[in-house]
Amino acid sequence: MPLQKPNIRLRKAVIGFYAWLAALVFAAVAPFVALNVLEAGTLAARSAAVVIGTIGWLPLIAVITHIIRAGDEFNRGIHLVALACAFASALLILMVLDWLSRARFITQPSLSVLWMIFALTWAVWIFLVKYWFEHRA
Amino acid sequence: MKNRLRELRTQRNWSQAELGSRVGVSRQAIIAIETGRFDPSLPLAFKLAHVFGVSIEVLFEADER
Repeated sequence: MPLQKPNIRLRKAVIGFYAWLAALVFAAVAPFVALNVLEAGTLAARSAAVVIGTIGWLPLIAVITHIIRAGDEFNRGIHLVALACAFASALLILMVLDWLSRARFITQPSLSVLWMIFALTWAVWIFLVKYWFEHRA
Repeated sequence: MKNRLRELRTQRNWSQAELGSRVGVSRQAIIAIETGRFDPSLPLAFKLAHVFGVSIEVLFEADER
């Protein structure tokens, strides 16, 4: 099997990084744009806010999917384990928050807080699983 | 699963990155396989055996249960 030239791999990695960065910025900016649009309050503005807020995350999802698919089986394994752990954690967080709010310890958290927590949980698990595979004694 | 990846790789003076390139995986994947943290799939195990010119049984040994 021929060796892949290091400069080709580096170029791919750099392009991937910038694509990820651009998508991340897009995803971060989109909610603010959507909130501004929402302020108009008309039906069209509300619909546009939904579309902008949702579409903002699609490039990031596409880039992450591409990165996972382009990776080797080790990389895919990491993402698979991280995804499974993130799903279980998100479910646990959801249940805890539900019971805390039912027991009137907290007010019911907003959906905006929840999806941010879930996204963060996913990112944290990717980091943890990567660390576990690469540094476990 | 035990393996002789590191032994065979160092015999050939290949770096982990070079071996990774030869079989189409990252250096991290080779490190994880060498240290036993990650068991490769059957196609990858065959690729590894092929680049070393040995049979898969020579390269990998199942853990005693």
